[in-house]
Amino acid sequence: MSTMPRRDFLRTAAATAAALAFAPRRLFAGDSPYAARLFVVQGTDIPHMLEAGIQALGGWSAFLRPGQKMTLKPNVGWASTPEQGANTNPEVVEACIRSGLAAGAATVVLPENPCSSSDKSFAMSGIGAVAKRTGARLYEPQAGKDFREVDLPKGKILQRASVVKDVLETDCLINMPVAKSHGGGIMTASMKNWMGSVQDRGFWHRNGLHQCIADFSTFLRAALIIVDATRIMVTNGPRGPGRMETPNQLVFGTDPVAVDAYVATLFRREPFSIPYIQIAHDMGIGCGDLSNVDVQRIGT
Amino acid sequence: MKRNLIRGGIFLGAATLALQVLPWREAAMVFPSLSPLLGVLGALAARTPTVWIFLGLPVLVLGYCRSRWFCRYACPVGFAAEGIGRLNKKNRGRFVRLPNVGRWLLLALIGGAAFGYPLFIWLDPLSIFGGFFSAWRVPPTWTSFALAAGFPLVLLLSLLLPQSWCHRICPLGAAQDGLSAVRRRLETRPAPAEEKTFRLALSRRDFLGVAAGGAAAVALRRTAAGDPLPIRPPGARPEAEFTGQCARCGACIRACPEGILRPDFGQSGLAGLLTPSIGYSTTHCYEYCNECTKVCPTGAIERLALESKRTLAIGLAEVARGKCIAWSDGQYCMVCHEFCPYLAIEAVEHNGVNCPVVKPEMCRGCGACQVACPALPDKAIVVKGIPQRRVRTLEDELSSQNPV
Repeated sequence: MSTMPRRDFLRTAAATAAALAFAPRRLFAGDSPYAARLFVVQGTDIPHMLEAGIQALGGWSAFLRPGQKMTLKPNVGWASTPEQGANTNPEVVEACIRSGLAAGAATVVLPENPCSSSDKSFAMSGIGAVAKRTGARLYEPQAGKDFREVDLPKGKILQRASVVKDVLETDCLINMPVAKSHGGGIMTASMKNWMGSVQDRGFWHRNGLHQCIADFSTFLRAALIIVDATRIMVTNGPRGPGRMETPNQLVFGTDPVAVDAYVATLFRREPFSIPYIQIAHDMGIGCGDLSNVDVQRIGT
Repeated sequence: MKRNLIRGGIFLGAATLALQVLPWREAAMVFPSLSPLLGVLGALAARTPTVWIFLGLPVLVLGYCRSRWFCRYACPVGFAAEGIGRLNKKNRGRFVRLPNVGRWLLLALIGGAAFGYPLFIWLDPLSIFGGFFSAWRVPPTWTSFALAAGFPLVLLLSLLLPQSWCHRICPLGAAQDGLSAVRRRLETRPAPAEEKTFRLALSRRDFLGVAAGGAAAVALRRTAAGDPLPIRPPGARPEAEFTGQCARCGACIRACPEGILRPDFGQSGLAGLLTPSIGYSTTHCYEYCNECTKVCPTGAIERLALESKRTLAIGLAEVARGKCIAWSDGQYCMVCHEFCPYLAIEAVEHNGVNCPVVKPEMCRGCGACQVACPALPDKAIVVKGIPQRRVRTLEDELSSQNPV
């Protein structure tokens, strides 16, 4: 039996102490009378906020072991600047990649099937530069080669889809959308973000967008959801430009319905007024009823 | 031998510029601008001189001092035509029997340019040479080959009847012949008074040629506008002038990084044959691109700064409600609104679902909506050509949405 080196012991102890210091009221879901739990981290120091959120969820060890592959799905859909809030804030993406690498991730990949041209989206969003700086691989999946056709047995309308291989085949899948208003989806956060990981978005639009959004989440669940609500586009989304507000929040959770329901409130929306949240709740994908969600706030 | 080396070098240089492989997009303008027909007469027709005409002026002066200097040293079409003509020894010298078509073409061109419609400007050899490189455009289309056909046709003609192109048809060759004719007359007679010079240079037949060109220009400008209007590159002159001022050199078509510009093949009428028009199929005209406006040697497409391009409408989107999945099927879609870079799609609630309505004061006709529209089998939102016009800025629209 190997013994733990003193330095590692101290490091672990310090991390545990730090995690406890953020003092989530209930550390283990088993104790909870709630259906879901999420953490809302408030602040302006983004790397610090990210660490606080990860620690609140039990630290990286809950999602990732050293040497594993991490897939991050930010929203890099638009040729638009970070200030316009159409894409995930590059600082949030960078903090997460660095933190994951420090926790031992062997590779970090960021596949994104963008709406604007990929080179413009990747460059203008600032996320291309982040990938370059951190050594992560940001790429536009190519039709056929980078996708795999899967069955969605629980889907009502969407029952087959071509999904990015790196999203399907990974050790740690992180959904990292930006929260913003949306013409067809009304509001978008985590569940709708998967539209950037499938090949044929048009099918969703033609065949009941909200049902398809929910259907896809019966099939795919991220290990971790981090919603960028540092600045949110409250009108003219998803592309904008629109009116901006700055909640300065990152929302951490594992239940996509609860996370989206909370984010809806940032847009002063009743969660069930957004059809896909209601549908996903009714299908049992997660809990969209915020009275039954343990929303823990962490100031930094 | 030395002369042919120079010509070969210029040929390769012109080809490199025409292929637009250099990082500086405007480089594509350098070579065509050397032709005074494109640069100087183009500027006369468009009534907007640019700095580029200064490249054509020295060629005029050289043409006056040295007989056909440009043809003998610089013209890539002349170089190739002369080379291929040597293969046909049998018909050598027979071109002299042909009438001097080039002179009439030139006179009509000058008259047309004075009235804003420079007829036959597309017969300029540098334009024909440029058009040839459209065949290398990726992806190739059969219309891009049509645009490229001029140069091979000139070569074929030169093989059948050597020197006929250069000495009997080419309007740029005729222009230089005209200049040296003026010089010869001036030198063999005592220096005349200035008005006398004009009378010597312009015979009655020349004047008639110019006048006929002018009259044809006026007539063509009235009939040129097609219906429906094609979608022209941003900065294009009004339709009735554009079809005349465009030299069909294909520079804008090759400059377009998205490949949405293509040579028109009859959609804008006979007058518009092979002029550039926009078709949106897989991609649209991006708000951060003005490449096609940087390369027009005649000024048929005005150079536009990005800021200026962003407030220029080149078309107008129209929603066909019967095909729209929001309007007719009650689907949550709004993909057109999602992709519109200019806030030009308004969401209107209809049966509890957001449905798109185009705001004409914001729509630039960029085609983002048309490309993205998921409706099948036909797109439910399609851009139509309009006379280009200025529209509202994004900033104005945003501040009117959110009054302070």
